[in-house]
Amino acid sequence: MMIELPGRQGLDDFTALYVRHYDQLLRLAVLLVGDMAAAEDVVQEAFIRVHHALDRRPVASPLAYLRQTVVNLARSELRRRLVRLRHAPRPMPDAASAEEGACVALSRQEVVRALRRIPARQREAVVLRYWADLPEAEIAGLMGVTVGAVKGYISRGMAKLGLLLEDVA
Amino acid sequence: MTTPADQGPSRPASISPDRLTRLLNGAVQAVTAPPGAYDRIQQGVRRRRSVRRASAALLAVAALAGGGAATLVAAAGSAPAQLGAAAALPYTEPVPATPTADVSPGGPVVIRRVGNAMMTSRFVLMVRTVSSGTQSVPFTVKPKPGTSPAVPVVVGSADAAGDGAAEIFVQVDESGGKQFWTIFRLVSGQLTQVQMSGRPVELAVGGTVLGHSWFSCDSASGELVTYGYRTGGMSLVTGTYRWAGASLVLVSKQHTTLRGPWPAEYTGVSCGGLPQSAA
Repeated sequence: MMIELPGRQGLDDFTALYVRHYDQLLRLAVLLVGDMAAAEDVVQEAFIRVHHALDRRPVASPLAYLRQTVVNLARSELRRRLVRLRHAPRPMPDAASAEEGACVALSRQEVVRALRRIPARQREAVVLRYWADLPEAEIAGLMGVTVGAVKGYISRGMAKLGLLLEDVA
Repeated sequence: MTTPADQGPSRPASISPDRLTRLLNGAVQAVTAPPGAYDRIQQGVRRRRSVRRASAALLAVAALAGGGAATLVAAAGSAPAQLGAAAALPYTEPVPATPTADVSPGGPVVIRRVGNAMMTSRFVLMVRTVSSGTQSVPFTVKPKPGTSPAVPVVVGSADAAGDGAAEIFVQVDESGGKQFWTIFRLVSGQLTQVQMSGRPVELAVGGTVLGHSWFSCDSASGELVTYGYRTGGMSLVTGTYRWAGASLVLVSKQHTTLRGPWPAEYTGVSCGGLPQSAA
């Protein structure tokens, strides 16, 4: 589902791009970062960036551009989160963290919880393959790795998810 | 020969692709765009664009201050990529004024002296606005060296910024055939003297055999362009400014050496119906 948006005309189709793809990209971001609020930030930032790109030059595939930006921003978000966790004070016993509060609804989903427990690269590869239904070659281009590496990520990710989701119907 | 017991724990079974796809779909199928998401994106786009324009303006000012004759053009909405890292100025996009916020053209515009000194005179400009009654703003006139304190004169009003509200032009000084005009405009409903490079704007108009100055405004593009011509070097300096609230922000400056006849078509102010009186 690609939309060709050449030049100024492209900006007029920005709304169409939003209507067609925002929900799907938001779901992708939720699966990657496991947090609704952070996922919204990631996708909105991606749309702002694609708007800027369209303002400057024609973009052959705005959807691919958006997807790539979402994956990159999700990675950055996870890195930032890791730094925050390293420097955060230890929570009081039984006190829920702010992050837990923000994604309490999503955390009820066993699969989201399981995804958060596997390495980021494996999570990206698995989600892009089995949720976004992208071919391995495209995932490799998107992640900036070889097809062989993607296969490895998927294989290890599936094995871990098999264990983590053993009891989930 | 090995028995199954010798092989250690059995390798865990991977989740099947079909099952994983079903679980992933089920996990996020209820996720949809929150209300106002599109508006927030549009706000983000506008904010980012303002910052880019401000960065371009800042770099232009820095380049001109440091490099002298450098020519830098930063057109609206097409700021070069390398400008992105520059710091942001408090630049805001011109806010289109509603007709009711207009300064009534041709309405009473009064200037009153509130004090005077040897080299500085203080005045108050009083204007009747459509929306907020009579407004007044104090301003100071500093005469050029060698001239006596001038009495400001209202030149007229024109929608120079193209935002539907009139700007008021006031002559604040005159020296050797050259006049200096300042500008007042409504900013967030308040009558304000327009600033240029951190000081009250003074546009040079007219001149002598040594050179001429004039300006034009384009309400469509929202730009005000100043011209300065020196007869000796046949050089023309053009400065392009954009309206930003109470400021005129320099976006480009160009030095040109003229190799032909005097450009007669550029010798007068071209901005609405200015001048309308007294100039």
